[in-house]
Amino acid sequence: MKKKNSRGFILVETLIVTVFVVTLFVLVYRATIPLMGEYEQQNYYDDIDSVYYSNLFKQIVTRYANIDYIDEYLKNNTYMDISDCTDTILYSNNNYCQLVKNKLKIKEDDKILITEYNIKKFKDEVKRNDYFDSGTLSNFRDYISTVPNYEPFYSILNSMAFNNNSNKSILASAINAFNKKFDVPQPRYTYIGKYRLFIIRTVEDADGSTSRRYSNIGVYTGTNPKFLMGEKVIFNPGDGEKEFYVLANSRSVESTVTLILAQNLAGNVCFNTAKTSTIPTTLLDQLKTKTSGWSNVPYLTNYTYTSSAGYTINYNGYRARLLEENDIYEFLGCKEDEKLCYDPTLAFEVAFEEEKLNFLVDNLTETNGYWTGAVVPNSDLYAWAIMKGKVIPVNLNDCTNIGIRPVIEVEKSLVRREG
Amino acid sequence: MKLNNKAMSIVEVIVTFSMIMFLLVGLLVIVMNYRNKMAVSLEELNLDSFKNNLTQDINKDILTNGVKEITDDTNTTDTSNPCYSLGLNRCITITFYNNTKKVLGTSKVNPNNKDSIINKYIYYDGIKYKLKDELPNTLPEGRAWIDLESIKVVDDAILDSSYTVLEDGTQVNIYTIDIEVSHIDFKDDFGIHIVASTDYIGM
Repeated sequence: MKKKNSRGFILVETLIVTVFVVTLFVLVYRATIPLMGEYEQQNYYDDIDSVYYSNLFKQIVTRYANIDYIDEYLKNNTYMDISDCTDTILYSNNNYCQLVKNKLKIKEDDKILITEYNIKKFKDEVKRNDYFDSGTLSNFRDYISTVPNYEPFYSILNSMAFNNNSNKSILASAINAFNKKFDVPQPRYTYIGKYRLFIIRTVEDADGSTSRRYSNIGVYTGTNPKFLMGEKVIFNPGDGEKEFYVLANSRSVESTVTLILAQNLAGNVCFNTAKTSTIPTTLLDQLKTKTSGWSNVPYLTNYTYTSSAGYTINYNGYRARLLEENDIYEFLGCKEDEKLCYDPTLAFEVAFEEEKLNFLVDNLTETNGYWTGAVVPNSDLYAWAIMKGKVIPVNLNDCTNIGIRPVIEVEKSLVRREG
Repeated sequence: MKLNNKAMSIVEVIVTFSMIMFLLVGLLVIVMNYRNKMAVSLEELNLDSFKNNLTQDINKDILTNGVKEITDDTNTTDTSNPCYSLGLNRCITITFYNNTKKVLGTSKVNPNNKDSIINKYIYYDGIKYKLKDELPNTLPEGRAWIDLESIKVVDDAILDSSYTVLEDGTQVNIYTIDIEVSHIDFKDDFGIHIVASTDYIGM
């Protein structure tokens, strides 16, 4: 039998193995450490302050930027630098833009970029163009690689209340076509965006050093202004400007707002002259007559209201309607099935406990109020009215203290915020 | 077959033992290092959560209701103003377009009162967002408790406002709420930095 080699490793062998192992460790270390750095860097991507700041600047873009100019520019370019608030072609209200920029601590060297909402092309440009790997934008390539081409941020279907499913399906088909064209992953057809806004800003940290923050937000330029319930607005219904309060942002389409007059249009009106719990004919006659000259308010078409008491009011030919149970649910913040919140079938008054509902009793004294279009079912005696800071059942015989306050639905563009 | 029945020499044992000890010490250092890092990360995570929660709560109100006005009511003499009775160091009132009001403020910190330092907080809408600090049990001679705090709140510039007039003559106010919150171990600011404009159109 061949004699076995009983010697151990020689020095050279030991050294080779040691060098090999050390090299392996160095390689692993070098591959791991940058990952930790990248992880730390990602703390500065879309941090909470930057996201809210982007949202505020988005409002500058949607309200005061020259959208046609941006559209034209983006036809031939993948992005546009919109950092310069002094650009009078790009922005109206330059001072406001500059003030917001200063308040958001966006410095002169920082960047505000706008691109198409789908950033696929822009990502390619960032990869190719060395501009995005220098100066303020030095880490921008890393950042944008973490941003999806598409992100849902705006639900067009949810923002609209459709009367029937066929309208909904027509819109859904249109959005599906849009998705196909622009390579939007399914089933996100409910989301639609026009631009993407990127803000890259340098922030001074607590220890005096600086770090760069990156954020992006979707911009939908077709958004109509959102009004707040209880907000006082000025609107000219056709016979001069009047104060109204916003009742709800939209009942039918996104571009309209539901308003209630800030004062009674007529006082001392009977619910109906018969003083019975039937359809409020007297109220409706007065409402129609008093609002007939409101030419800026479109006629209500196919609008009916069915009371809990069982009668139906057909508002065809009316420009305004009466307050109804659904409005009450809405401003009390309750749903129809939450009977503890407001039960129209029981003659128990509901106080407006929240200060924000004071708008409903503006310009009323302690003793007067205005009717809703709803009687208290099975009572034969009461109809719902707004008075004394409450939704209150009022005796149908009371024709002296209760008036009419019309509810209208108009285009938001015709409504002006107070002040 | 004849077996090798020789044991390890003393040198081999010492060398092996030294190597094992070297490895163990190395590992111990790494583990201790990560243990410290974990504690620090946890602290950072707490501060991040604090900032995110409070920032989100305030911004949610701003975006939902719109800011009508923000006033610094720290030194109010109006007894009906919540800032009068809350005993805060700085206190501002945010009034929204629906006329609801919410109070934001910082707790009072007494440099020589340990409790006021370890239990400092930022107050918003009835909730105390706590910034739990840790201090040693005993105070070294000649030092104040405030010298030993890890988390520092700076509220000197809690509210700043500017305005501009738009082309249509509308005056727009822009308010900046700045409360710095820093930790001696981190370079980041975990404070509240909110910018709100009265030119509000909602989300």
